[in-house]
Amino acid sequence: MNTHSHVHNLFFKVKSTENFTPNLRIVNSSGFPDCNPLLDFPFKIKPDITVYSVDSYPGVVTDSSKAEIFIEFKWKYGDDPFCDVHDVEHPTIKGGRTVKSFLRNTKAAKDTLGQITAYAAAQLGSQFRTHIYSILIVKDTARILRWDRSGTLVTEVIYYNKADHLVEFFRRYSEAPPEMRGKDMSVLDPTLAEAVKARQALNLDSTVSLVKITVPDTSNSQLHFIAASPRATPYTPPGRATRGFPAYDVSRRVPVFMKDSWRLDVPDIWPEGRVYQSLKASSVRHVPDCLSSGDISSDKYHATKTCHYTEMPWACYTTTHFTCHRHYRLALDVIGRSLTTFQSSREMVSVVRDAIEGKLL
Amino acid sequence: MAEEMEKYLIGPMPVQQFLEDFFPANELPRRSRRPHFKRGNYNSTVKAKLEVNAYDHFVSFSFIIT
Repeated sequence: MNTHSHVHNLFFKVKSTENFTPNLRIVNSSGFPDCNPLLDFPFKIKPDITVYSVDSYPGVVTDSSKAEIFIEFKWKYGDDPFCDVHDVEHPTIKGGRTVKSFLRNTKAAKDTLGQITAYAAAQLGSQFRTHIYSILIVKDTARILRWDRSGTLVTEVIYYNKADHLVEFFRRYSEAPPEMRGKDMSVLDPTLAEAVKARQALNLDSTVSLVKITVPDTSNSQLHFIAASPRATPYTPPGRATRGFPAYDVSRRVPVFMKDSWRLDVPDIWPEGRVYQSLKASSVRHVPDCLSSGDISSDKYHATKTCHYTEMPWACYTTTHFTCHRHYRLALDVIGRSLTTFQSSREMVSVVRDAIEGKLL
Repeated sequence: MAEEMEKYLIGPMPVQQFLEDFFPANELPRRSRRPHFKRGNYNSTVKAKLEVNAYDHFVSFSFIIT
């Protein structure tokens, strides 16, 4: 008798990637479209694997408003938007001038890039994050991407079944403090009492989720404003990423207008709050009062990083000028209305007149 | 989106530099004991014939001992 016949087959199934990531929950989300209700996309995104913080609600499978990392899989090398570094014709200077590129110039490759860009846009648009990470796996290779408002850094190829770099990324991400992961710690949950007052002031019902946003005050203190959670629109992540909110001013107890953006961090472009200050100082009429404004927190996480890598010896990129951005907020005393909601032609004409007068002065 | 995004990509960044720049070891809490990566840990993932079969393998190792 074959001795093996006495032995039952033993089937082991153990958590693999999660072994390296005790503070993360890793979910096969491939069969579940994004359930984020704050997504204004003309399509549903469906990432293959989604990584959540371990304290997130365990029933969630695909939700871009809560996801930490999206992982996309491709099983054909031709679908990879990245490839070995090679020479390509300079995009603007013709006549034999070349630049180094690591991008694959095919439709399938561009489709994949568009797909992972949409995931990043959904996540950055519906959450408050300074930056995010995503992973692209093509068969036995992986690349880690870091997205911020000045651009996206892409790693070299990782052979994740042979080397520990991907696992090491998961391990470090799992142990990293929230702000290192990209979470914006200047945004909090409002207290119950604050939420009730904000809903009354802003005329929001109880189904609308709220956030409590910090804005620096001129006296080096901080003011808090409560607003509806933002909706994500399908714009590529680089840029100012301006989000405007009708918001409830917690200290003054009135509705105001709040703006969250990534201002251009260059010396000759003034922050918007300084422009308002200057206009007021010159007694320009028809200009709203800027209640508070300033850069958010320190520049450790609230300033873009991608723009600092253009001079690295390995850096390949097109001729785009990478601009550094700084996270910035301001609050105005006036909540604007769409011009099309005027109540009389006189009101519409007078608004346009006031705007022209303010602009000319 | 891809056409626009292509202009804002920089790479290929050495992965060790990536880890050190964005997750510096001296700013992370002291590591607890964790299983170490072994070459071949993702055998079942990379050997999956179809992409859809790779997802679960990536999340969970499965192996049979007879």
